Amino acid sequence: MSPRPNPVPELTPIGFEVLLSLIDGPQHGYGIKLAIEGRSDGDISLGSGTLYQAIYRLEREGLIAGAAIRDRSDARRGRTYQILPAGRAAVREHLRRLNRVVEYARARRLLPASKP
Amino acid sequence: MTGPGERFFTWLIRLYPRDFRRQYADDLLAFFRQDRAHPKYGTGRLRLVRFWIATVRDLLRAVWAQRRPAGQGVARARAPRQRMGGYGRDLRDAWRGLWTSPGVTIAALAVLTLGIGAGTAIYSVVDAVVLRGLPFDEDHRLVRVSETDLASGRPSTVAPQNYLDWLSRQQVFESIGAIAGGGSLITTDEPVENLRMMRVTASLFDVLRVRPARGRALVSTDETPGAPPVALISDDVWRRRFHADPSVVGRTIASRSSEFRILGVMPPGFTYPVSVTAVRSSVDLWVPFIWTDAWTARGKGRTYAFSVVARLKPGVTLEDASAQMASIRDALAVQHPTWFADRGIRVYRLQDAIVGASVRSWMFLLLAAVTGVVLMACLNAAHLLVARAVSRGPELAVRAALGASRWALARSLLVQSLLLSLLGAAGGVLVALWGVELLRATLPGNVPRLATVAVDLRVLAVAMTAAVASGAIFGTIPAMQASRPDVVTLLGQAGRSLAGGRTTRRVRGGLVIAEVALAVVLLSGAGLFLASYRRVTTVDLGFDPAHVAAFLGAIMNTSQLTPPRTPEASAAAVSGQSLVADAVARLRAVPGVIAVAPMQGGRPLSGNWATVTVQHFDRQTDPFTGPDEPVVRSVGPGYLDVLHARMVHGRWIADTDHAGSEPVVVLNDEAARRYFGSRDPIGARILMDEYARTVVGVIGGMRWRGPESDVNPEAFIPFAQTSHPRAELLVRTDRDPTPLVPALQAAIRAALPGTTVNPPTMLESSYGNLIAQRKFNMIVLAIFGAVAVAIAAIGIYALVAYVVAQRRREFGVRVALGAGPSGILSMVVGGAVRLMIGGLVPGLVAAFLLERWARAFLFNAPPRDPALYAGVALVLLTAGVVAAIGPARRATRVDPLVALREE
Repeated sequence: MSPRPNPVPELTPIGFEVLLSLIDGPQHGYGIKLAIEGRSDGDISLGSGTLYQAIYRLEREGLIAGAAIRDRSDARRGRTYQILPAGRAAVREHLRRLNRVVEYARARRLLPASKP
Repeated sequence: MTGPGERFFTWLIRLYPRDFRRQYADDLLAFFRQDRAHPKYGTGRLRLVRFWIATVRDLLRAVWAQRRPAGQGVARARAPRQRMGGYGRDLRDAWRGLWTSPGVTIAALAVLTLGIGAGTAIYSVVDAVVLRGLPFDEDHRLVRVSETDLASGRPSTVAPQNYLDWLSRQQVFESIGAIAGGGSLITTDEPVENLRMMRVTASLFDVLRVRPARGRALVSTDETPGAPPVALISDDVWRRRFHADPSVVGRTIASRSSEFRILGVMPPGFTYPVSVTAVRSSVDLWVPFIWTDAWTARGKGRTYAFSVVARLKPGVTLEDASAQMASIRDALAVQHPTWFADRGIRVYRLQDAIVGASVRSWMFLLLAAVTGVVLMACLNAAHLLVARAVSRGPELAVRAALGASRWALARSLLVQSLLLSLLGAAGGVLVALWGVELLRATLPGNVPRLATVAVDLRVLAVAMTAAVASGAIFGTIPAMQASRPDVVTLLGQAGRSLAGGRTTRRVRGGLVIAEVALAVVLLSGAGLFLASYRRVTTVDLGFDPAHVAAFLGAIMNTSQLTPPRTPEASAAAVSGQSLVADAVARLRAVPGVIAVAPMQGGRPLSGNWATVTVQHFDRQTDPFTGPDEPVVRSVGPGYLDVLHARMVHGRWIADTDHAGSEPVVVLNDEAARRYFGSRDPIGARILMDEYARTVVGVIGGMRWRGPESDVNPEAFIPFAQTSHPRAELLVRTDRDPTPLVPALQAAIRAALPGTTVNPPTMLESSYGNLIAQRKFNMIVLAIFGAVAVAIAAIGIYALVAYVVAQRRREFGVRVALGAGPSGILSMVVGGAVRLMIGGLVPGLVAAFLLERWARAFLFNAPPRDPALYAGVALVLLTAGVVAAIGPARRATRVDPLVALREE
């Protein structure tokens, strides 16, 4: 496989979950945590340290951006973050990879076939 | 609104690298606040524990990841781990070792946590009150310059005239400034409030090196007579009263006497004088002292109005300054002999002036007591580790036989003790965060700088140092012992832990003896302070402060009642009398009020007694002056009922004593005894202020300034017969007066329209303030004493249990040979008692010697009380026997067959 000219950064599982939570619109830190918990039925429950470590990386890689604190409710809930185009691209790339894995697993009958 | 939990979390955030912290600290805190309500932490008592474990673990893990250099994580992280290989393994071993017997570990950890927590909390108080410097630039150069009263040697305030001469003659100070006392300023513009005002020289702020945050500072022209009134306001007043108006400079604050133009706003947090405590709020505004002729010329009278603070020139020592000021004083004494005959001079550090010697030694008493507790916690942990080292004996022997060095063996034990002490310190910090809140709430409000008490990084550093030091200390004993195992014996007996043998038992016995000795000292201290507190609280005041509210300043500040000195003054006095009578009548009509009295001349328990008038008694040859002068109070007839005072003889002031009737006076028993001896004073006529009054009664003496004061001679005259229209109002209610306050205030306002009625002072809380320090000492030492007994009992229990386990075979043999349970029981318990006596004797001797030092803190301490020491010995012996009996009974139940078969 030849290296891509403009590689999309690889996502950690938590980074991927964070980006997924921002697809539908901006969200503050604790909102992201609750969204992830909701999607995973509570299997993934992030602490403050883990979440902001992920946010820090995503922000440095240019995948998400934090908004400035505007009002009191922001100050109470923490800054909101929104996904950037590069972030959406990274999600798509990651999903493509996951899909490849899933298809492979189905072919080997490691997973039941999807319902029609 | 930040609680201790939030503060701890904020502190944890500090572990992140700076750039991360700067960007995410607020978000992390917001997350933390929201997460506290998350349902996943469950409910009930453990909810908080689960929340904290999850939060701290997660955060520490993230911090670790964040601090690891990106990209080269693997290579960089592994290298040091290899270098520390031995320690890493020791750490893992230690961690595993601690949890092999979790019960014992948790007990030791709990004791360590409490010990370090208590130590940290007390230290943070001592640090803020005594050790820390003042919040001013180069505060070590700030000194107080006082005149002294040569008779008593006490420092006193300074006459402004002398201050001026010092100013022109001295060469040791860079600058000198003064505060000339304060007062309250009641604003007449909205909102009406009582502001605390301080009169200062313009140079004071140069001495302190503090500039206004906005506007200009005071200058010397502001001090000249006739200058327009100006003021500097505190940051707090600026925000509260002027809503942080940026153009506040030039606006005004008006009171009845003048209108002050605002020159500037002092920086936030600044206040002077700094001995501000929880009771007295900080200063709201500073106004210049005006140098009128009365202050610059040396007239007949002397008024010591100044409290002087100065900044030493760089390189000038306190001794240099003292010497120069003394010679200036001597030169001035030649010029103005009458001014200096009874006055000396003293220069001392400002910090010493603010935190007096008595507070300092009190703080060190607390520190000493808590050191005892920390020491006991360490001994207890040492005890545990010795036992653990013994059970590891065979393992260590194997390692020694395989060639491990003594250092390696000692190290593995030291690591364990350090791990334990660090865990204890971590818990201790949490305990301290809560403890400090508790201490701030319970400490008497007059402790200087109480408001600044907090657990900060400085205090935490001390706590950690103490933890590491104590870990090293209590870890060294087992480490030294175990690092030279008798390989042959141990290997021979591996599996049967007779390992420790006699030496270990002796070491552990020694630790128990030390614990008992310390417990004796702490418990004796607790006993002394408890007895002292009981003596204070059972002193008969001569009156009952419960349910009495005192309205001070209410009527004092009414314009109708305090007109300027004019020809109409006496007419105003009459109308003042009727206003006061009206106020009394309205107050009495409030439901729940039992009695009301106007009074003048100082509230009970307030510490001030206003008027001392020179008295002449016609029956005596000598006029009474000096210390024998009675204090005069003018009071209404209700006074007796308000205070529940006792009549000794004759009658009390009645409604029939008014301006037109015969002038009367009631003496207290002390005055009657001093002025009339055994003669009956009733009917005697005495001259008061050259005004004859007939003595009609004698009232029981009251300890006016609290349980620790004496009864002074006092004379009570009817309020209706005075021309002073100023009054305080005392109100007794049949219940806690607090909920009645609005009704009471409304009643006074109805009688005196346009009056500011300040909230009343409850005499009960004044009483509480007076005994607060004793109560605090009593509580702290009682807690420490109880903890000490508990730790000693744990130590004895652990030792006896260990000895019984060790000697199972021996007991088995004894039972087989026919020894009865009672014989074995008394043998085991007797051993414990012998050990305790070994600790009681040195402990009692130490307590006996230390009592002399503690006496300074005790009220009316009687000579050494043998009953106290006997009681302490009895309590400890009982605790020890109870602790020993459990394991001792196990010894009586040894089955000889099983014990012998274990061979």
